[in-house]
Amino acid sequence: MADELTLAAELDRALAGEPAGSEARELASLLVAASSPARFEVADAEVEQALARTERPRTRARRRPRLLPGLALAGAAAAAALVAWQLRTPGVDVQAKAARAVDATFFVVQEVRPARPGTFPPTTISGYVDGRDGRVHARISSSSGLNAETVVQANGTVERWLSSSNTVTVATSCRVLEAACADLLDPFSLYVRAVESPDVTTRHAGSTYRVTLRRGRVEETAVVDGATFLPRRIEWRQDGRLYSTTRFAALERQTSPVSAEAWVLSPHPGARVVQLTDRGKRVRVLAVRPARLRRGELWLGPSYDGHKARVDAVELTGGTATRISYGPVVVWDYREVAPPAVAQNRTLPAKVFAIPGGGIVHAYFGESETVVAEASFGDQNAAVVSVGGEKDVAVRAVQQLRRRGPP
Amino acid sequence: MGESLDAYRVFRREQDDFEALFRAHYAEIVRYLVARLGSRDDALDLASDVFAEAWRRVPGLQWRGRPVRAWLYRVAANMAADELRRRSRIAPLPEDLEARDESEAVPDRLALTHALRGLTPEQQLVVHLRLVEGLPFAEVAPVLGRSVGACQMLLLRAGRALQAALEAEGVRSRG
Repeated sequence: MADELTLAAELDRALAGEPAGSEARELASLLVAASSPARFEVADAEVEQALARTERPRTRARRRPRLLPGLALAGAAAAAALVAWQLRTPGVDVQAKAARAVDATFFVVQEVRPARPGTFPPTTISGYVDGRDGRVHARISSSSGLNAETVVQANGTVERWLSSSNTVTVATSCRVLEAACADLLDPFSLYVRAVESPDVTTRHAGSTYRVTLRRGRVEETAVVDGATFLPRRIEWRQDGRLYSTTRFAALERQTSPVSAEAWVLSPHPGARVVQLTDRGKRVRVLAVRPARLRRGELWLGPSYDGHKARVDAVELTGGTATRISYGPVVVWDYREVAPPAVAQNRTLPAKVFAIPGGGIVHAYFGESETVVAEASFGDQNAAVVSVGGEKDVAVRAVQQLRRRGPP
Repeated sequence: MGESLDAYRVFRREQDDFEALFRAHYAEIVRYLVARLGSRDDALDLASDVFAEAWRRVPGLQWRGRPVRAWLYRVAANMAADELRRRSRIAPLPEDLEARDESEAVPDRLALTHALRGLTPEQQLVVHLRLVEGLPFAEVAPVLGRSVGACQMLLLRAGRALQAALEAEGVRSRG
């Protein structure tokens, strides 16, 4: 036993690179080799993203009983009364006019500057915002070039590309990408939401109105033009101190409908796609097993281009999908989350078009032989993935999708 | 006394400041889970679950002379064990659906990885803390709740178990 203790201490010395016997050195090198795959760095940015995504439910163990709950309740009641009193002011009318003014699609260019130079780099945010359905396409750049791009669809799904990691994150809502949306979505789209909020206060100031929304320690004040009821600038304050100002370099109402491609993320060659479920988990394939096609699922029939259909049920993190393979053409039917084979191609250049039956198709073409045509029919989605052959194989096939009828 | 007072203060600070706790320990928990599960994606998912649990439970922990880090590793180890049990129940993935670990191209590496995962959870933890995180045994000991000498012995046994597993696979360890 004493020998063992000596050897254990010797092993520690060998691990520290100090002289040790051959057995200790051999064990040390074995332990070092065995543990080497786990010696990798996790980037600070990745830690911050994970922190922002971590679920923090309200129920939480408490270290100490909370003091004076009655006082806190009284404070909350007083605050509510104050808000109610402020809403009785003419602000409600200004708010309604401001909400009507942004009830359209805008092309927006905003310049965000810190109140104290050096706090963050001056940033320009440009893109489209649709005040009617909440769609946003924002490109965020600084002196170093394009830093990020965010697209929010009418159903709330978010796609966000970050240049630092060349990663596209796809999430079911801003809630999942909490920090990303809060930090990077353009202030104008936040403004559009703010003017519809009941928690806004309004003050007349010369030819403008100051529309203020408070959330905890943060206060957003939009200076709204008294004639057009459009925002001139937005001020952010934290703990009462001005943090940043956003000025509108352009705020152009679009008189004709903008192209569907205006709401598509730009191509980002080589970008990795990470798809998150509505609980913030990465979507991955968990299991695949042969299955039968269910009624109502989309497919190309029992055979296509001479290939018989082979059907598999695919279990994904956060949902399921059905994969129907016809040789080099594969159809995916899915609802909750897109299979990785489909989502991975969303960074390629896309064409958007409508197909009979009310579907909207996003067709993604890349340098590789893979083409993905993703069709959305309300809450049901299908994608055709083709590998090799002509570029339009998937595009032709997606237009022939049909629901499986009764057997 | 001074050391235990410092440890107590760190414990209280980490209880009160979830973000500081997260920033201090998230990366090491991810690395630990990668070693246990062999998949970075699974490790990231479980690490999120570990810290979601920490958000709920850490403020209610009682000081028993062990750091919050010990609690994090215990929860991570339990979740990893659950995940490994779950995996053993579902059909394995076809080759083309899951990215292969590049290191698996080397047979010795594969045998070594398997041997490491064959260690007891406590042996895996001591290997991780000492060799991956590079903690001195004085810091490893409170995480494991053992004396420094016992931790050194645990590591020695881990090394020998690795050696034996490799020999059983017909792989020579490199001295």
